[in-house]
Amino acid sequence: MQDKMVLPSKPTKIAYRPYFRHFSMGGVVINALLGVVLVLTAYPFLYALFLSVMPYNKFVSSSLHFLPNGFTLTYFAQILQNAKLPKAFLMSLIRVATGTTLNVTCTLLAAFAASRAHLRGRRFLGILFIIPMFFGAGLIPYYLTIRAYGLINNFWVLILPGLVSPMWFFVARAALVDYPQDIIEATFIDGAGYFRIFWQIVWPTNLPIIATLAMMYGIGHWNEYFWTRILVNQNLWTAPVFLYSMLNETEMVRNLGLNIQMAPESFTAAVACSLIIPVLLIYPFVQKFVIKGLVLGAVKG
Amino acid sequence: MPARRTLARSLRKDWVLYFMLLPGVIAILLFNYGPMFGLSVAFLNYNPILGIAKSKFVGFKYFADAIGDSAFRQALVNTVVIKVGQTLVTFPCSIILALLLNEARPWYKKTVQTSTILPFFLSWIAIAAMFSDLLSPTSGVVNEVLMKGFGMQKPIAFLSSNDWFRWVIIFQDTWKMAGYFALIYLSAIAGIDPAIYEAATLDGCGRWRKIWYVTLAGIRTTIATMLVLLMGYLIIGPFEQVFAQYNSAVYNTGDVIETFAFRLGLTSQKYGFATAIGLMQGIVACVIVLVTNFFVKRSESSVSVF
Repeated sequence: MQDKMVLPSKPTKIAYRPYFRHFSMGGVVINALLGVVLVLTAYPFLYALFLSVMPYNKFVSSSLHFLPNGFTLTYFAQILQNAKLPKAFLMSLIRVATGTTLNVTCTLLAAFAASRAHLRGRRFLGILFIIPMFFGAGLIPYYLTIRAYGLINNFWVLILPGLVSPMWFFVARAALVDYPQDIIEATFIDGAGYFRIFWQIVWPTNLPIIATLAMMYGIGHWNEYFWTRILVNQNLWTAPVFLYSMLNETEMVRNLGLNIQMAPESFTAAVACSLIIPVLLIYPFVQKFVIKGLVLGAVKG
Repeated sequence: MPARRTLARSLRKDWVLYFMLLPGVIAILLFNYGPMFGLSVAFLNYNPILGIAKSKFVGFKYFADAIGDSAFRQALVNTVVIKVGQTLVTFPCSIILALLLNEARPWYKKTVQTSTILPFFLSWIAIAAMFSDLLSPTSGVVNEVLMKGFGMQKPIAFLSSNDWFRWVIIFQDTWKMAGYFALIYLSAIAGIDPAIYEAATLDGCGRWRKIWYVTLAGIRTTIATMLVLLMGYLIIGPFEQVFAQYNSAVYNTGDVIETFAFRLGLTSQKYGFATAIGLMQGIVACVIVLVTNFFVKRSESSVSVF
């Protein structure tokens, strides 16, 4: 998709080609630099993968660890054996599904209403949503407020505070302002209510922006670590929070000198892989939309 | 339609639209504006049992305390050094990456782009776990390469050394964010009129001159906008990144304002002190954004962020 945007379309004959068709020194330098970038960004992932499946005896006996060396699923088995992990994964699933659905629906509803040109108070709404982007109260007041609301250890404290993110609200509003208004006006005159217009016209025709919102909110719920750790007890921890806490436990075990048949580095790598793989699995499916949406978010946000 | 209708009438006519706004507005009011009342804790000798209303008023005591506190000043220095470092490295790197990607063949460009943007989607804890392996002094690949390949004598404990921790935090930011920023510059490059390249070619510009005079010149507005956005975060520390990786050995160089406030508030229960620090940080950050934006607005009207 990006390629098509950068390259001139085929039929028009344009002298400038952004890439070289013939050998040249400049081309070699550019491609070599990009090769270095590729290795620097991709190798850490491969390294984590190699380590996570490296058998303990191979790990100990070799003095270099940068290449794959043997194969074992011991570390992943050890992670999966943890009795509490399935529950944590279930929590992740519930949180991502509930949170993302509510986030996307509420953001788009608010953005749709705010994009109606005749609505009174649109300016006020803009100000209401923009101030939190530039001034936040900070950690402690937030924590005290949540406690005052009595939401500590409540599942909804993981969902409601970020219900509508100001940034994505503005992105969605910008998209809906650009949306052909005649269709909405015409349907309204035909007697359809705003809710009906929203569900039957606006929602189905704005799937790219919905996909972007869903991906960004969903990733946010999957990745969120700090507040989950602080605000709720272990029963409500999502898989990443739980997995990360396992690292500290194994650290303790190692310090006690027990469990010598495992390399902590490999265990850490296996945990890292478990955190990354779910993101990797969905990323290719939404990449196309999300790249568009990220650009939009950066330009308009 | 009358030019201005009364509030009651627009409420009656557009109640459905206001209803649609309700969930979002309530959430923003409760969770973004609500905590701003909690800022009053900065002026109180806050006692959780008494609550805000009955705690004793102490005025600007905590602000004075904070300014006199050497650990706070160190955290402030760390925040600025780390953020300036991150900006100085990530910002040019992402522009160069975009320029390089723009010159590459489509399949190669796509491959590198996918690889560079992936870290953006990962949480800091996943990255922290990965980097603790990469930088491990006993078996980490970085130390292995440095020792076996470059003949270094002793391994470097990157994450627990005051000499190295900031560098790790700075370059890790580049590693995570450069691909995302490059994506934004690339989309700006895509908007440059191909006719300009054609004219440049006819005028005898080589590839490097075109990169400099056409591509880079064509995205200078985007670059300025990004710079303004980054300025706003100069004093807002990379909290989650540091929180996931620091330890008491590197408090001297790695402790940023938010991690400091966090320990103070939630671990030592010094609510007033911690809130005062957060409030000062928030105000300064806000002022920086407004001032930068004001100057950019004056110099180039199309650039201003809002």
